[in-house]
Amino acid sequence: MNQFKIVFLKELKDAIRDKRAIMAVLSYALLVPVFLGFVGWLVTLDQPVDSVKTRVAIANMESAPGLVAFVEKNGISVKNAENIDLNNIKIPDESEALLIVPDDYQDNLNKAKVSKLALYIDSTTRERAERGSEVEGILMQYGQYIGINRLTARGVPTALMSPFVINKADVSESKFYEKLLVSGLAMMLIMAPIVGGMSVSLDTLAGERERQSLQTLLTQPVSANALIFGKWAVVSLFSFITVTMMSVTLMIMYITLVADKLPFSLGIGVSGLLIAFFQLGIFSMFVASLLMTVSIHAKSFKEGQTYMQLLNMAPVLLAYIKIYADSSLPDAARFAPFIADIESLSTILVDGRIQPVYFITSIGVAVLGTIVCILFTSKRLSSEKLLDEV
Amino acid sequence: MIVIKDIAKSFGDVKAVRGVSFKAEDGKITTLLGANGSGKTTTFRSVTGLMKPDAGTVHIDTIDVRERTLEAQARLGVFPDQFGLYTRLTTREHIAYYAELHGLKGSALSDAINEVSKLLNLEDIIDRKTEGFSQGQRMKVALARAIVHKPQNIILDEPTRGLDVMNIRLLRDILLELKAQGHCILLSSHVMAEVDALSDHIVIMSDGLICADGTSASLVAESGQENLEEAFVHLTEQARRNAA
Repeated sequence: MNQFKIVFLKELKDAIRDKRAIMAVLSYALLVPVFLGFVGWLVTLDQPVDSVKTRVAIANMESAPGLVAFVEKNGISVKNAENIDLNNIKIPDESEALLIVPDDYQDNLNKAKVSKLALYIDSTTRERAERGSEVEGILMQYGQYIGINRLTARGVPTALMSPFVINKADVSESKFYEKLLVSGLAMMLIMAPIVGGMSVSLDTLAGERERQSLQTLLTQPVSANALIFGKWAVVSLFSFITVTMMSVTLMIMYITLVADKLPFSLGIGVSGLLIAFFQLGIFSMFVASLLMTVSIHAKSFKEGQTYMQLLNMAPVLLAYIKIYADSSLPDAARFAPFIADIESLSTILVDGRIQPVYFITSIGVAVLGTIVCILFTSKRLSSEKLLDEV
Repeated sequence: MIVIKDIAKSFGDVKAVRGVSFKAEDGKITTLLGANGSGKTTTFRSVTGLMKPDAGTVHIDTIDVRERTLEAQARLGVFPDQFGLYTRLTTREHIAYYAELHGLKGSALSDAINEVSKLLNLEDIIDRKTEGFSQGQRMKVALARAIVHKPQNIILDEPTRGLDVMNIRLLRDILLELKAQGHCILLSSHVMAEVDALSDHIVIMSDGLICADGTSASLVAESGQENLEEAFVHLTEQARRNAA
């Protein structure tokens, strides 16, 4: 235990003074959340925003109080349009559509005659076109409503006019964006321990070989286990600090900048946060052991960086499969490392609860992977061949 | 004292060391002399516990290196051919790290650091990071960490390589002082003048075998040559001819 502590403290001191390691932690933990926030903001630009109502200006609105009430009841904001030049129609500022009610509207309504309403919309942008269509749809509904009332007054059953009712639910873009953003967020969190621990792990083993200090170290009365665990603990710490700092930055970003603009909300809560940190903590230990296994096979920092780039591709590819091919993934694939982590983490982020199957898989794979990687690294460190490969 | 008995080590078909035996005694400087590929490194690694010989034994102060590696290593101070310093640590932190691995702590640790710092004139660089150190400064740090725990047995692999005259003289004085204190010193070197001046016992290796050993004077006499360098060349070539 004492030797573990000596190795841990030395490695920690060395790592804290390593500019590359500190820059890797800070850049990923601080810049990536800012980037994600920017992407989230870009996504919201193209989304209908619930909090802002569609606005319609109505000319001669006093002639159609029932129509105005119906439109307002359906969530459209109405304002009076004055001084409309019929020869040069323009939609008033702060409105997405203009409706002109004819002077004889009320008279025609009473006599069951058809009135000609003029609706002007602006389809310059997708959003304005959608809002114009929304107003048109509500006007059609009102017309149908009047018609049904008239037939009902004449003893005709309502069902004759409305043979079916449509319950519409939006499962398209916002749901896709939700999945994309949440899974992307989970992927970024999964990548954080890898990026944060990479430089330290390379320096602690490949760097030790490169500067030829490993051979001297191995002639000291210290066990391979004390060396491995001391170094692994520091890499784990850097990995976990990176993901913790990133989580805190993300939370600040979410609360202060994008929460009201996203098409979904994170219901993680305090208990969910603790569970997420527990999962990410275990995952950080696994990542640290994996990074060390890669690092001990490199003779130099540079060679190690090449291996690390290849290693980085694995979680990214798996995460992209999870994000873009989620619906066609076979069930067994969801238990693969990294995919199970993203599944579990996404649920914790959105619902604040664990999905037991994926949570247990994530923890189990991490613990087992850590044991295997540490055994492998320890065996490699004790190998005589390691010395000749320097 | 270091006792090497009949050690052999092969790497595939290559027999790096074949039945090497010699003794490095306390209070003496024993030098391993040999060309590149003669088996010196394999012998050194067997002594320091980095490598397990296929046959034979190595004892450090009666402790079997194979059986009780960590105990044997605790009685060694190793000065490698490549100094391998951590550039972000200071000289003091280097020495402290290795001293702590040897079990020193508290006031014993700080006393040991101060003592070795004084012995090697490290005061001006003791709290400087080792990045940018000259070869001489790097040598001093490596030597300091090798002897800070006062090991009975000190192993030096080509210690004067890359050093200037002043640092070679400093190192030589320190080795002679350690020898006078009764330490067992085992070193390897290619510099004949240095070997001649320092060594009490010279072991010449060639092709994994010991082809001669003795004092500088006895080797010169045995070979019938004028000096140690000529004696070394003569004896190693003779061994090769005999082997062929």
